[in-house]
Amino acid sequence: MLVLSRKINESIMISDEIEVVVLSIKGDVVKLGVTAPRQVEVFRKEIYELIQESNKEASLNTINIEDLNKIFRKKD
Amino acid sequence: MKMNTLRFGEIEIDPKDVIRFPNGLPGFENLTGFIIIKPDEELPFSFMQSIEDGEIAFITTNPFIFYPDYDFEISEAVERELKIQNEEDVMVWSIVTIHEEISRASINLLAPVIINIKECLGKQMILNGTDYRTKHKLILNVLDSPVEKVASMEEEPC
Repeated sequence: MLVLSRKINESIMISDEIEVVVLSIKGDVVKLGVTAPRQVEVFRKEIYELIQESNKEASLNTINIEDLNKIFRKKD
Repeated sequence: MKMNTLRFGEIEIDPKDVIRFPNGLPGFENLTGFIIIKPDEELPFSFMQSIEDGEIAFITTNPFIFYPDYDFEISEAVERELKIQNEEDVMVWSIVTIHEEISRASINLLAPVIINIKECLGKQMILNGTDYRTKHKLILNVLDSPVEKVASMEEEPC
């Protein structure tokens, strides 16, 4: 991991198209601004982890077709 | 090509039916090929079966059946990654979580699976700046009428 210290309004460039700037620091909250080309996705890490967990849980499905049928069968 | 799966036993896979997920799925980044198995034409559920790991299959559904107002934009990043050129080539699936307690079944609206059926490419897209969550209740009685309409949307991809 590359560790860099920045003050407010200082930036980091990631390759030549992504910039991360420190916008403000209030108490223990650091506000960051990210400028990146539209094809680059940016998310809070915990959101990505949330999706990972959700997928892992979903992959543990133990239900079989007959059960699905019983529960969701269209009522006539 | 044959493979052994946990839920369907031995199955035959036609390479033309394989949907490539170049980045896998969050949590399963190493699984890059899936096929869609629809066990019952009358049920709006399919399984996204991994062709690399017979034990892994996700239950998916068309989210708009359960949440007709579900709305989001496909990001430019995803458009480019999936080489999407026409709206008609796009299919949207949501992963469903169902265990023994059926009433607790939920659907992930925060990260829909986007598939370009023309290119056989897929990606699970994480929505940004939205109130959708990973667990929305699967409302069962919604299925009373729209099941027939859904059947026509379940074309074989690729």
